[in-house]
Amino acid sequence: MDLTKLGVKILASKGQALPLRDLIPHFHKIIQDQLLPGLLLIDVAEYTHMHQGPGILLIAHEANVSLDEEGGRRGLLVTLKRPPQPDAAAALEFAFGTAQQAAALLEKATAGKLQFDLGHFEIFLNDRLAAPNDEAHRGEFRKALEPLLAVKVPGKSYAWNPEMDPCRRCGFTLG
Amino acid sequence: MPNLKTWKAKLEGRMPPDWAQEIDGFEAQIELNKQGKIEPRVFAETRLRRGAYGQRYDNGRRNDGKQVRQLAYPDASTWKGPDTHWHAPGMIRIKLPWGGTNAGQLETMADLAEEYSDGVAHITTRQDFQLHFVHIEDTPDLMRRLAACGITSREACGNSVRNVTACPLAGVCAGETFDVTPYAEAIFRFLLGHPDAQDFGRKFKVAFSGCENEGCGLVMMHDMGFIAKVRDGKRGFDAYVGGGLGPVPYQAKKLLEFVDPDEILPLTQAVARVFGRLGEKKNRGAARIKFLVAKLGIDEFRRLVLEERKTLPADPRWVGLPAAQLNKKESPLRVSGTLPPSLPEGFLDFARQNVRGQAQAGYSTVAVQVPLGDLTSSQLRALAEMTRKYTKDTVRTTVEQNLLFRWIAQSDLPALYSDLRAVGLAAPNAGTISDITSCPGTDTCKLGIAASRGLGRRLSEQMDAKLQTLPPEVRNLKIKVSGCPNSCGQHPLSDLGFFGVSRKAGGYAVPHFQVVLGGQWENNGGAYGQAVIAVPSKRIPQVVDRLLGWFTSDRQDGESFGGFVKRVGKVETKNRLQDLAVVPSHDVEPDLYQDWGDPREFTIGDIGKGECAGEVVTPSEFSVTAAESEIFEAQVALDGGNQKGAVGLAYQAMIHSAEACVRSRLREYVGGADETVSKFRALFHETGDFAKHATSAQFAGHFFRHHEQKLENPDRDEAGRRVQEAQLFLEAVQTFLNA
Repeated sequence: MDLTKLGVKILASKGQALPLRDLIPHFHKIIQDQLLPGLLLIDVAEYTHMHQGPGILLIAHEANVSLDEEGGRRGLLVTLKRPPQPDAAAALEFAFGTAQQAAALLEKATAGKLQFDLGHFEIFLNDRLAAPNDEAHRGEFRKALEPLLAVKVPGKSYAWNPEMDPCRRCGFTLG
Repeated sequence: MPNLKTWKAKLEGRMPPDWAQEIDGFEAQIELNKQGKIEPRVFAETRLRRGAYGQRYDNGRRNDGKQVRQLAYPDASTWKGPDTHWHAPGMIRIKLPWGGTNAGQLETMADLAEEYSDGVAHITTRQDFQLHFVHIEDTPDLMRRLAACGITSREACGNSVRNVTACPLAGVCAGETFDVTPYAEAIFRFLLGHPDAQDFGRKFKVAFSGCENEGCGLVMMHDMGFIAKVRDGKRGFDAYVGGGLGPVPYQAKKLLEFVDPDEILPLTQAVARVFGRLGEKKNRGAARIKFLVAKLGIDEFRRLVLEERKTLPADPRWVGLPAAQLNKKESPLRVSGTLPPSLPEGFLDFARQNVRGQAQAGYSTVAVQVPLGDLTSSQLRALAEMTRKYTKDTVRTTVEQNLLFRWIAQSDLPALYSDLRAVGLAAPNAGTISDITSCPGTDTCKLGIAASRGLGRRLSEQMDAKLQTLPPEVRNLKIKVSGCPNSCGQHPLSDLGFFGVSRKAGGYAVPHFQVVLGGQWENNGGAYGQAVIAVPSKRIPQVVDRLLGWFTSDRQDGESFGGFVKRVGKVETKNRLQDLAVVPSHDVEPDLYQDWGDPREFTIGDIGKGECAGEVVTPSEFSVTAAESEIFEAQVALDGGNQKGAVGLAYQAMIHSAEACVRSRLREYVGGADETVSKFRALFHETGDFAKHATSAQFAGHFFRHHEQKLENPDRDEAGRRVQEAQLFLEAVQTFLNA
């Protein structure tokens, strides 16, 4: 299954109520100090006025990296863009790896007031053509992910909660 | 089994064939541009006319607050316009004529926002939607998915007829003369892609208003506008022309009084021809129609238009298009009932401000205040569900960046309110002083000087905090913010308007806003505000508090804010604000040296070259570009085994190539295949001109043969030869045109 348009959102475990606006400078600092190597960092977009919105986004060529609030769940979201990663393992490594790095940066910048649970995350495919959200595609997605996660996080077992709304993207919450 | 692995295959047959063809053509032009076969200037105007706009930093430079950083986009030698990197994120503007939309479109917008943008769809001050941070290579599929639900992005930008706007209450307003929606739709359909509207030096904006006094259509600020009138029981329109905002706003002038509805399309066509022929094309800053009308005077302009009108060949659409639209009528989803006895908390406050009774008894409009015009994908889906649950797809965007539900049954109001509240869209402040309009400004616009959205957000919070205690004369004032003098936030029409400027203090640049007071929204945008003083951006909230306090305490009975501003005068107003304009040094008040929501040290170094003015591309150049796309598509068809399709496309390419030659002499030429062949033969072949400059006469011979000998079932060799000959003819044409 083509996982090149992967999205990963690592959920916040602490600091969900920290005012988003206070965190904007940290995103600009990531660009100033080029703290996410491997990404062409372009700009910061902020939507702190929105209800359960995209929060604050770091716009990069390869991915958008955001402190996202969709569904009322704050988390560090990475949505892959281009160029497509060479294979599924590379896509997962890039998305997850970038999310982990960005999460660590924000944890450090907020002196631990904001923290993320690496074992609790959402994962989805941002491509309704290749992966409409139905049982068959969710099954295929899970089948492709399981061995990759077993390599990435050996020994860890997850509860897989599927996204059942067909209007939303094919994906799971794992925790 | 059909290949459904592309959006093109999946959506085949689900859009008008000509829309599908245009998008395919644009996709071919993207490929040609990547191969360096289209001039960046031409591609820029091509993509602008498909609604694909540039964004800030697409020139590859951004000040990160410490240094100017070069953005090392891949494929650095590929451009999508002058000084516009190929891979730089862009914006797509999506037209919703008169703001009309439906549940399916809202859901599609949600999907597109997630898959191609940043998860947000933005309502603009011209009733469009915009998606930001979109890659140019995603735009064909994005356009296909829009086309499949009835939306085109064609001519959303560039030197073209932009979105046709109209009062969002058209058809349900108790005060309107009559419903202008059918006529707005007719004008949109008539002008979209119209040959007489392809040679402008600048954009052209049209608006409709159902009345003169309220005038939510804002006709007076438009290039062309129509105000509904009735005389002796008959419908008609007063037609206006030559309005426009920009850095120097102009009020429209009355072109004709009481124009018959069957005449508004040919009248607009005649205006378009005069504008196309006489409008400025070299000096972009003086190319809007308002300058032409001012230069000629309205009487001479009118004379030229009426003369042009006489020359127009009859077009059955002049009458047919409005007539077809008049048959379409909105209706409610259900019979209205009374309000239920138990009402949700907050409903009454919401209803007091956001709900208005319609002309049709028992039904109401419900305004949804959308903060800064931004909607998340979840909100869009929820709004789609509400549209289905409570209406028959009667929902519109407004120029105040909100949404308006129409035909809501009384009995449904509390439930709709609860549904809105669940997604954070039930703020009881639509149309109040805290419902602030702002252009994108420095967030994404290349021309933005100061953070209009940041200021808009701050002022909205400030006004929200005290909204319930504000006196009525203040509560419903309008605040609008533009990021620069170009007025995209429509600040000249507001009571308190602000546009971004920069000032120097101690060697630093400091973001400021010019304070513009006393604009008039009523009477169709009846008057523009006057600039008073420039104040640092971070002090504008104090400016607002001070002005509102002064107005409240010194206002005369019944005096409007505009009347008050006029009475007290600019000098006194400036005196009252002067202390706020003084900028202390950087180390005393460093916060003044940053803009709202942006911790970077302020700079104007990120301002780029705007694309609002588009590129002036001649009709001849457009014909060449069309021919190039068709040859590319012909080659693709040939490779795919579609010989007949390849031959058809090759022939079309030759017609466009010949048309390029004809248009190089007759700029306004529009004709079918037979006429093009005949004109090419007479003007270039029989005179010997083409053979002299195009290296060989034989290529013209190929062209005539393709026209005279159509191939019904070509084999692969025959089709291949035809495509090659079309290519050679195009090359010869280009040599000829460049000689």
